[in-house]
Amino acid sequence: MIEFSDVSYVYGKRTPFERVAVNNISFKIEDGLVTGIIGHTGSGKSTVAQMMNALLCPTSGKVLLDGADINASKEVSFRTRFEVGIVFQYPEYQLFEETVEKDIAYGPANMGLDEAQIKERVQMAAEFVGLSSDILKASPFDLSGGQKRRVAIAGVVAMKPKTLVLDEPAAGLDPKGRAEILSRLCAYRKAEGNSLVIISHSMEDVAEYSDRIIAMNDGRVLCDGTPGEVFAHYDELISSGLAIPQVTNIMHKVKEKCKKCGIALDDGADSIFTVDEAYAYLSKLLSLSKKGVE
Amino acid sequence: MSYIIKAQDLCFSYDEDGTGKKTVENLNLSIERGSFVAIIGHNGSGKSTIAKLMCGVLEPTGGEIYIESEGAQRTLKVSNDDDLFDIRKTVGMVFQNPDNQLVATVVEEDVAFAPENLGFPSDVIREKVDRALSDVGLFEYRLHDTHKLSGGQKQRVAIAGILAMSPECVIFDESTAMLDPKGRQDVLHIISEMRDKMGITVILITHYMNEAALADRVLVVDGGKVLLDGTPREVFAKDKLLSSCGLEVPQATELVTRLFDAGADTPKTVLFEDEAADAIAEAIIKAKNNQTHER
Repeated sequence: MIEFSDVSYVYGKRTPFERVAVNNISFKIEDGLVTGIIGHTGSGKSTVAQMMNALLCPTSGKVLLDGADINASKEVSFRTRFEVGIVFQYPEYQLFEETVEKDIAYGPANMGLDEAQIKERVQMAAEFVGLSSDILKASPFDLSGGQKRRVAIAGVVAMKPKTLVLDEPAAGLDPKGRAEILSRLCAYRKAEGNSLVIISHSMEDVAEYSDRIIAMNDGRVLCDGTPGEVFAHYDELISSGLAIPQVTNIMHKVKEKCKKCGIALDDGADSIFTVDEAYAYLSKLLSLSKKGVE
Repeated sequence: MSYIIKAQDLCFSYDEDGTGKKTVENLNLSIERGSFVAIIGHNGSGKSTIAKLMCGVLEPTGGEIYIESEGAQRTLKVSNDDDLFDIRKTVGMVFQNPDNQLVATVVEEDVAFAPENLGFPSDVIREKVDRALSDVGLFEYRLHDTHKLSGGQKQRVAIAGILAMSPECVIFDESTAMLDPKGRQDVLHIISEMRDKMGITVILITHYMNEAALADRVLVVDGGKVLLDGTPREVFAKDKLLSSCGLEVPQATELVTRLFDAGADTPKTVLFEDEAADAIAEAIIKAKNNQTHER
């Protein structure tokens, strides 16, 4: 479990450019869950991500991994990076090796694993992100954008981190590629029993895949809870530059309109965040299973 | 119907000799002046290549693109090197990542880059820069550092940089992909202002289907060819074909189409949230009234 306890981060401290990016926040990332982090640009999401594996050290407060301060010493910080893996925004720009295989092997090799283990890790990671084995010998620079993204994610997955943090893993991918990457990551989490942190601007994606959502605004936690609890803060989310999933918005409007005509929909209509949920709710309401409404 | 861009038997291959796999194959297409056209397609479908061909960043390996320029008062051809300068003045492009497009450290200097290079006198540059910054709502930010702006603001500076060149057509290549919901909304608002108030032709390449729904016309590109071409309503009615080429329809459309297919009393295709909410609420009200009658 990762715990943030009264954490602040200030960029350019004691310079004219001093800026508080993260302002005294506390939360826990529980094991085995998918946690979504949302927030407008500049709300501090990426700074938080970088503090999760000691790439940035908090200006004040503590970041604990299973109860131990990850910034206690250089050795601890170093070890933390194998436990908590971060995939940055546009990770395809970080590819550098001659072949896909070597690129994915970079992390495990740094962990000091032997050749056979490294090979196994590379195979495992490539399989998980859906890269076929014939691609392993290719240069990562000859691949399409979607494939490069997968190679980059595989490079972090190969370290088998207990927590995998991904900053906008699906940005710039087409709808199919987006759904594929996200569902593969969730399958990976299920199989390995580790935890996943997804930072995203897509409310629809976060709503569909997260067990829990942390919404950030101006360096603070705006709300923290299940998708239902978070998206109930409709007005606050909108005023902080965020949104709610389109389908949630539609259901809000449907409920309003029905109310005007004297039909009260039950509370189920308020906690719908995916098209599947909306369809299930409405088909029951309209008794569609009975072949339409006579 | 007057066109601004017309592609004729357009071919393009990234192999230098042009013999390898064609990214764009025998594409025929014309973009009407003053229209708002969205291009959608999966990664690797050739969307961005088409965009780069249209503004003369890439040179076709076969066929031709004609650009009807009011500024140059003639028809320009992308294969003609002497026309490239005028083409880039006529057709501007905004990329996905604004960090790749901003060149100066101060907002107004960045916006002035193009008019300066076009050799305008300094009072004209001042006027163009001020107007472009007002158009994107960043006039008060003119003396700010570009690298300290938010993603959405940076993208608006990039747009202002293009507007200061007074283009006739602007191509947005996934320019909203990195932005938060507010930033996306701001950029989309500017896009509709450009079309409605400035008469600029807009081509929007996007992976967000609800952005494509705002356009006058949607082109679906697959394998370097146009697979579907029509109004958003016509295109998003083909939900199965779209999903077979890695795309989807907006959530509003998906929900209502699924209800319709299951026998609900709704239209088959809607595009927007309000439309979907109206259709669903009506279906519920009708169903409830019928139930009361039965009793």
